[in-house]
Amino acid sequence: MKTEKSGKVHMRQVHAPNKKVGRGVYVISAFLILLYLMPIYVMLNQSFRYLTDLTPRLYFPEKWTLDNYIQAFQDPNLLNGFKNSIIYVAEVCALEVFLGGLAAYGLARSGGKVSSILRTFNICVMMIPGLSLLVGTYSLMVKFHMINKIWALSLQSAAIGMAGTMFFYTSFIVSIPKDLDQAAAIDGAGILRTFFQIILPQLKPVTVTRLIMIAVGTWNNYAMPTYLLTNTDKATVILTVRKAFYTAYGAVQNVPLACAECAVALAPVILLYLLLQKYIIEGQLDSVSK
Amino acid sequence: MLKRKWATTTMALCLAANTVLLAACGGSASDQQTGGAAADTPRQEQTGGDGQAAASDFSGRTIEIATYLSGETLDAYKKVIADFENETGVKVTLDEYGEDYESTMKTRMASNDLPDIFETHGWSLIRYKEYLTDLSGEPWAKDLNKAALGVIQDTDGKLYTLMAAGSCLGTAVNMKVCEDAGVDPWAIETWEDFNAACDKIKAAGFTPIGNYFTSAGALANANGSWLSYEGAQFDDNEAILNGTWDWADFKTILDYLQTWFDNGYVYADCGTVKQADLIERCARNECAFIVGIGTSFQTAVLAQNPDAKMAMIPICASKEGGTRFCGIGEGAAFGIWKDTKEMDVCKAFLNYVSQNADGISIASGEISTLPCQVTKSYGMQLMEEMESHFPDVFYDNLWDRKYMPSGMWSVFQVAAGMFCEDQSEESKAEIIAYLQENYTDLYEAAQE
Amino acid sequence: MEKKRKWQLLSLCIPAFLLIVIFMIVPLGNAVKVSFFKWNGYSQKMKWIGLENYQSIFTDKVFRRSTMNTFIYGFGSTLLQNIAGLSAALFVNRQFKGRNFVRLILYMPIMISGVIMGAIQYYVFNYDNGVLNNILNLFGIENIYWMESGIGSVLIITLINSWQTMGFCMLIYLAGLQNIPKMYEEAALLDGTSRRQIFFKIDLPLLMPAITTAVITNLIGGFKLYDLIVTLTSGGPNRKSLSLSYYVSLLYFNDEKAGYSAAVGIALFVIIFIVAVPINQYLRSREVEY
Repeated sequence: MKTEKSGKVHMRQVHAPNKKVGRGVYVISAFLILLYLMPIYVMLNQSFRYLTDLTPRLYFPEKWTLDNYIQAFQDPNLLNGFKNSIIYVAEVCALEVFLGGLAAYGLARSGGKVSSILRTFNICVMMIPGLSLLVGTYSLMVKFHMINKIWALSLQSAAIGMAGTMFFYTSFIVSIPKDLDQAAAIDGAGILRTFFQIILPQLKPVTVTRLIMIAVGTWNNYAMPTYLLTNTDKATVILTVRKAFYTAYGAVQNVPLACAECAVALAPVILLYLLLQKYIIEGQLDSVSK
Repeated sequence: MLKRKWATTTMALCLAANTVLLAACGGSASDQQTGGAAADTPRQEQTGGDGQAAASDFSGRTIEIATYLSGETLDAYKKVIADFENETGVKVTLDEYGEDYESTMKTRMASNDLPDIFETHGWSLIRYKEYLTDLSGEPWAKDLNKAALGVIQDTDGKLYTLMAAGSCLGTAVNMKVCEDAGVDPWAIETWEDFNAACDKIKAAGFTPIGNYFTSAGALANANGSWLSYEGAQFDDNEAILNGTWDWADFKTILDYLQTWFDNGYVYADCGTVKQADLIERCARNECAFIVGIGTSFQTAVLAQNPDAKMAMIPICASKEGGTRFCGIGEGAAFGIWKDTKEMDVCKAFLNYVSQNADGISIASGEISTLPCQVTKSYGMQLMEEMESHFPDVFYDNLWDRKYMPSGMWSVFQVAAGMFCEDQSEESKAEIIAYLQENYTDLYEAAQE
Repeated sequence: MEKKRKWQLLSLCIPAFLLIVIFMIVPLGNAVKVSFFKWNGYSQKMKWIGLENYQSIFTDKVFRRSTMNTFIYGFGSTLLQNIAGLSAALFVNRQFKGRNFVRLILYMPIMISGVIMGAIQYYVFNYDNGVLNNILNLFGIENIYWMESGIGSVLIITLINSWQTMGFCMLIYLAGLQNIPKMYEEAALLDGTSRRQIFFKIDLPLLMPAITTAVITNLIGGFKLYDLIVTLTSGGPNRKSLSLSYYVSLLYFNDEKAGYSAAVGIALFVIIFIVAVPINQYLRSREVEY
């Protein structure tokens, strides 16, 4: 802690000429922030419009209205979508972290040829886009009546992500000294107890990072859910919002309403991001630098 | 330190919320299952009985309805459903599939797990027939008008769908643009007249044609005027229907469409634009015609600009004195799955819809197929206005649905994209080869 | 004893690999089977046509184009993201007030789903009344059709994808930069070495591990790109901006060519495999270092 601080102080002295760059830095910052908030602006700006407002989308609405939000909040599908998404994300997170962590422990510690083969296999699987297996997966799920079942989709998503999680954990477990679990083994602890008492606590910070990654990916997953969750009851938030942007035949597409639904759907995600920024950003930084 | 504690608390709260939701969901799912199983036995006996008689004692029963409707039409449909639920105590689960309707239905057909009631969107006879219940004995069947029956009645007199509204497909006209450019759309007869009008409109600074080539309609909807109807340039119907057509005459259509591009009638982005954008452009009075589109388009334009003046004219004739036609397509049309466990409820529901269909046709701006009870839809008004100018309009089922094998629509969509990008002779030859290959394949598949 | 423990450890992998086998290997087998048939995806009739589906791949222009696009999405966004991510990391690594806020905003789009992002960005890049063209109109420039001839679409998709996920690269590099001991730079500065030379001679070599992590993550992400394209261009114009993943799903659910779709899926699988093998070898060699 101390060294880091002194390092910073030191740096400031060394980089003294840079102090004047200040203004340029803020110009660039402002530009970057504008560039990154642009879509949010476009979305919010449209969500406050009337359907009849045909003025350029860059400018503020002709007349402001909250009607779209009132309508969006009254949409039962959106609330239901949140519920489904939460269930889906929780299931995938639990499956991937628990099974992936356990398997990674086994892979990292067992050594030998079988483990080596499995790890190579694992990395290959990690690269495969889930959609390349669409036909196979879909007809399989149809055959076993796994359409419109969130648990089935969770299993499928967890299977697709499992390889990545295993890879992620394996590289961390390898860096945990073997002495620790060997000592436990000598004390007579079984492998499961060793895993839960010795390894799992060590994995805590990494797990938080991984959980966030899985949760974000799963929450935003679109391809497989569209095909596997066809009932409106079962739709996730993302599917519900996507539907708001439809231009089905014989319909007036209500872009302002769709944008309001979008804003309502994004609000909790952004809020959580801001609240948990410490875990998300710092966690990511920590996990990489190890 | 304090901050961290706060964050941990939020996380804990979220997790707690998760568990509550999970628990709640698990409970309701199992409830439904047991409820369903218990109610199953007596229901079997009722099936096949008169749907109407038992209208009041449906409480506690559930039916699943799938729909592709969206926007206001969907709201109108939802209102009918809600009223039905209130009156009979039936619980309706509504699946809104929107743009994914077709693909979702295909997948549900594959798993032979269809909703109790679903929309047949023009395919009640060709695609869905083997999954549907014959409804020709229903009380509303005799009220359907000729335009509807011509589209949905099978050759043996069977009916598989209740067509509550129909789409009438012609050329949408923005009257304001035409007036400003000094064009009289009612005087347009042939494609030549149409192009002359387009030249005038372009000269006045507007975009003449708003057709978008992201839709199959651009290459499929106007074909009847060239190939099929009385006084058309070609008479290919027989060959088209018996699978021997060689598509050579289709080149004439492509040659004509090429003039749209050569003369700059269409939008630069007609290869990627979505219908919603064209509605907006039309509402801003920027473009004049959209060829081969249903009256719901004009209704949508009106929703965005209540002052817009829209009209409909028939699709042009390919030569002097030829037939000018409008396509009639199934609009909101509802069929019942033949294996439904709730046949009596479903039949009662369709009967209820048939008596309350006005709202749906008004919201979608489509034409009514059942005797109107209260108000005429905007589409109906457009159609009547058109008939006052052209009393001898020829109505037929949508061209691709009548003359093409099932599955050609998406083939036309790909072809439209190809044509929009490149109108050269080689490209045309390629498009025709592509269409023919798929036509032959699909025709064979349909014969099996 | 040692051997028994080894097998016990390996048995921990069973649930995870079982999931992978059920949801990835079995579907793969199923897809291989379907790829020998002519099948519309829903009817009960399937017609054996042998290798015909695979033969069609070689004459299919759309397939060729989609393959090229997939590579552009994969390698193109990787390149862009790494350049942008490194620049952003160097930028926010400076000491200025509000740098954490800039970092927060730059990372935020990762939280937003690709489908939603595509739906909103559609209104930024729209030809008539798109926000970007609105801005150009301010400067007296006429509307530009950004999606022209497909190349435009592909570039825009690559750009948006890079823009959206750049934050991840940024964090990886930031972590890398923060790990570089300040003494090196200070010593070099005192020697009179220029900032640029310091970057290339000291920072960049030390960042190599971070670079590889970033490249691999981005490659996997780019090759799987699907949801952004769905709402942004729907693959248009004329199916010129499809990724292979999207093409597979279009063939299955839109064109009713399930057999061919399965064959294209297998081809995608093979292509990714060919790309993945060298990466895989590299990753395995890196794992040993721990």
